[in-house]
Amino acid sequence: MRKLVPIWLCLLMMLTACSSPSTTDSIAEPGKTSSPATAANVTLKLMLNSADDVPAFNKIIEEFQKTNPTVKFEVNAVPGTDTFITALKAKYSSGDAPDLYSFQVGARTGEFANAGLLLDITDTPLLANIKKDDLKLVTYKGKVYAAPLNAQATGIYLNQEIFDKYSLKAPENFNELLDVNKALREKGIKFPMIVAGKDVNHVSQFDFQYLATVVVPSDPDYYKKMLKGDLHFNSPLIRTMFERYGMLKEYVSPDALGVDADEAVKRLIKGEGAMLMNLNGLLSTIRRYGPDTKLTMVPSVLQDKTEDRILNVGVTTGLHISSSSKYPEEAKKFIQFALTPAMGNIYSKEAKQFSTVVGVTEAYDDALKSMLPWLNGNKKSPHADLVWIPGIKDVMKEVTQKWFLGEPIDSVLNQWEEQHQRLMKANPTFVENFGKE
Amino acid sequence: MRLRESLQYTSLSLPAIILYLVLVIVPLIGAFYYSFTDWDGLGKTYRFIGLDNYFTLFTDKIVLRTFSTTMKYTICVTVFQNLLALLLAIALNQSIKTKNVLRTAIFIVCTLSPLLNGYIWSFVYSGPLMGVGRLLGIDMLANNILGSKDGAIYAAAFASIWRMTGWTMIIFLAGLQMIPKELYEAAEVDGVGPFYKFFYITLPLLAPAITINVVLTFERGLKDFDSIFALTGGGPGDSTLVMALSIYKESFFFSRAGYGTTIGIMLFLLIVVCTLIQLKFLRKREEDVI
Repeated sequence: MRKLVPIWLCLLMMLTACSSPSTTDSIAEPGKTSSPATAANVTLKLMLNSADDVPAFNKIIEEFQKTNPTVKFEVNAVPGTDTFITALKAKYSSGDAPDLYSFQVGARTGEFANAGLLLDITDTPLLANIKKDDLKLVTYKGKVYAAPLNAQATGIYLNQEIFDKYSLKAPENFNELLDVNKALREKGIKFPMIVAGKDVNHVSQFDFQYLATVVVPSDPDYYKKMLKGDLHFNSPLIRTMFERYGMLKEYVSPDALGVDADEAVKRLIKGEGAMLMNLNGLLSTIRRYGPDTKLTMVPSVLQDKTEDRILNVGVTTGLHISSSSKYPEEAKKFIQFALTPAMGNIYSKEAKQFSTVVGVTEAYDDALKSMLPWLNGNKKSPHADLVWIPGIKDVMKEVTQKWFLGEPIDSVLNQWEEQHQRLMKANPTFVENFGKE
Repeated sequence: MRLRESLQYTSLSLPAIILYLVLVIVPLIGAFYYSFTDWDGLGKTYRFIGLDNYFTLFTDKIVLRTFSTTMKYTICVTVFQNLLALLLAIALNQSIKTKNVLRTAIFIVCTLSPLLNGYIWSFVYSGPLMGVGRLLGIDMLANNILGSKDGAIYAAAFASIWRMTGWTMIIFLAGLQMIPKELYEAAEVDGVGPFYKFFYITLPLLAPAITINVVLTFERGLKDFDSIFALTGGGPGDSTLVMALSIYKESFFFSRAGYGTTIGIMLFLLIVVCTLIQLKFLRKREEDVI
């Protein structure tokens, strides 16, 4: 029996090592101030959904720590929407939730708020520099659960050198877009329209822009109708979108399905193509490959008449505080600091994004100059997809890619609708609460 | 005395049993439990919905399609990986000067993580291979094969075969070295040619190695996630959406963790059934040889 003693000791040591350390209860009451004893050693875990945001946040943190030297940060960037949501959910499930995280607003904010994972920040001073209109997508059942961080505008990047060379004017409506493509082809640019077909986010850019600038302005309640069953994703309204895309596809390179985002950017810079539809957020990637390329970004031109043209812009990312954060007051204090005009300017310049903070004046790239009158104007339309039931946006991307592969429009539209019905059935809470501010 | 020995042996295997219980059995029971709920993967509350998830699954065309994609991928990997590994094992079982270097070089590939392997092949398919295709004017190569709805699944299978062939080859090599040389010598004395030697000596006596390789390759193929995730993410469209990816998608994107675990349970049952069938068939073959 004596022989067994070392074995049992090893086993005991192993079990001790396996057991979790004596953790304090990590769930703090929302809004409760952390105790002075802990405030001396505060470490806020900040999870960002874009690696491009890291330098900006490092600078903001540096400034913040000048007046709050005891607050330390653990910054962790997980780029890519898909990867981020997976990592975030895994962190919440394992009890290792970040104190703060930046992510897509809208339905995703609602999803986490509904699960009781976010701190209610309604009527707190940290929203002082944010427009009331910008709070819509971070509000769930009348309460605000995130601070809007940036807004994204969609449009078309034009290789201005090519447009200047052939004395072409930027298109202002859909017919002009087709004409410009035709003219460029005649000048020798065989495939003027660049599409990164391999990347579902890129291949579906047309959809995002069409929905926001054509469908939403014509019927702002279209999605409410869809949830009620009065309208469907296989209705003629959406069918037209694919028919339009099909007209443009003629000017897209046949190898587009093998083209990823980086390759698409390279083709635009090299002048192998002249136009690329995307968000202003792509500019940081474009500048990595072509810091001096003469570019112009113009708002979407997918509507029939020039006078109906509208800028698709809206809050896309928000800063969320976990309800389980041990330091909610420090987290709020940091957000309030990050959303001051001075820090907003730093964010805009470093992250190359449009800040949501009122009073931010920096225009971070010359390519966006033509967007400024639109950004300061009133003809704006929000992102259509952010209010959709979680998951259906990914379905849209997938079916668009399938259509791009050659699957008939009706087939992909039916799949889209079928998935929508499936998700509505699986998430009755979302359907029930939709539109209730 | 026997009791003491038995206690000693039991206590030695106890750590492994505990780890197995904690890491395999408990999650498995958890998965069964959640498959009867509508848990969204985030909330603290959920409802018991009985067999609803299972009924939904059998009428869900989208998930059923992933089943056929998974089988296509798995069969392709199992057949070609084993054939290629067998050929390599036979070749490297001959008296070649560089055989040790070659064995190491081929085996070392399987030490790569599947995710890394996926990223490597994603680069190869979209970069160098396309360049070669353009240079030679071969359309099929000039366009990224990962962008083809018919070709992407085979491209993913090829990447997996490339990584794991070395591992399968080592098992075949071990099996080949177990075959007594006297049998070949006797066959040679009788004037038997290489073709007959392979089919009447090598292949039957390699049966245990074939069983191990076929069963493990098939099981791994059914579960494969990482390399397909890195290569295609299930696309283009849903042409490479295998069951493992579908579990991930349902659980994390569609917030249907209960349903996702139901697919997981079905995948588990599928693996169990396929393994049992294969073992029954292949073991019988082994017994026939004996």
